[in-house]
Amino acid sequence: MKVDPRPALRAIDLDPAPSPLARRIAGLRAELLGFLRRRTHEPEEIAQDTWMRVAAADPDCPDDRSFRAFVYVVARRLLIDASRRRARSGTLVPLGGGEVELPGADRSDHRLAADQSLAVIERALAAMKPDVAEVFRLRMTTDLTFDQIACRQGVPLNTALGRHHQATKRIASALRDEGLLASPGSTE
Amino acid sequence: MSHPCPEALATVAYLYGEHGSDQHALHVASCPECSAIAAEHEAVAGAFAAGFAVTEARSAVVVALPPRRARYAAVGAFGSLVALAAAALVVARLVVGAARAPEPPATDPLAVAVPADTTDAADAVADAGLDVALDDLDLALASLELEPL
Repeated sequence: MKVDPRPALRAIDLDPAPSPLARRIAGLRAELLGFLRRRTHEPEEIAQDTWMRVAAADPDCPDDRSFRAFVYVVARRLLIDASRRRARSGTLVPLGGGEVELPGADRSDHRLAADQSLAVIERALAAMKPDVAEVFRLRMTTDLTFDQIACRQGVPLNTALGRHHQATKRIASALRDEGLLASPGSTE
Repeated sequence: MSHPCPEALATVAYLYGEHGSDQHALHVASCPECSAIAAEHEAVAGAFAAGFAVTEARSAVVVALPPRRARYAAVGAFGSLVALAAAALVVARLVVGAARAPEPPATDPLAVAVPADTTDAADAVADAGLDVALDDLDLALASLELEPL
């Protein structure tokens, strides 16, 4: 059954005695927004989506720490969605020329890092088996699902998922070697 | 490739929106292996999207630049330039046309027809012309069918 999350969200501001869920959400709002601001140019939208999903799921978390971990997993899932959308759609270009600047995108160091990251990713993909690299490329730049990619490659779904995971791990390792990705555990 | 957590691939599917509801996030949140997977995939997706978007933006700018003719057409000064050129063309045509036109008669044609130095022959030619003109006038009056005075 689908639960309407709006009452829970509204309760954060209106209810004088908020529910435990509302209290937990209120306690993490600023922190999550800061986390998202460092990762995306649409932090408010993703934060709002995250809280809607969290309120709808109403997770059974025994303590605040596990609730926080749950919230970050949901947020990361939405960040991956946003990244894929961005990779698929590119950047808006006004008709008069020039480009729409993203926050921070006007800095040359940001562009340099983005260029370097893409070059490292391309090199890592080129060094992989073609089938493995293809799953990553297709999932990140097209609307194809893992199911559809598996059908296209003539392999089971789990093989396609495994190939994507393998490609991602290798890319992450290559980015870490170049100092373009933080070490595991230091991302939050 | 080994996955210590049996839910690892389900976690990958969940991260890309292909595994049911957010209840799976409860498992991910409580599993160090799956939490690391989530962090790693999110970081790589972000790096890929950032690099991709910047590169795409640069190539898109090149593609999106309007052709030069369209750009000139969009500039107001181009319209003024065209108007000036058209005006200059009209003026030039008028000047050339005026230069080619026959010289207007310096004096009255009748005066020319009657030489100052008259002779009988010249008078005869002049009278003949006058007679023709009078005949033409009679014909014109006749065609109007005016009542005689």
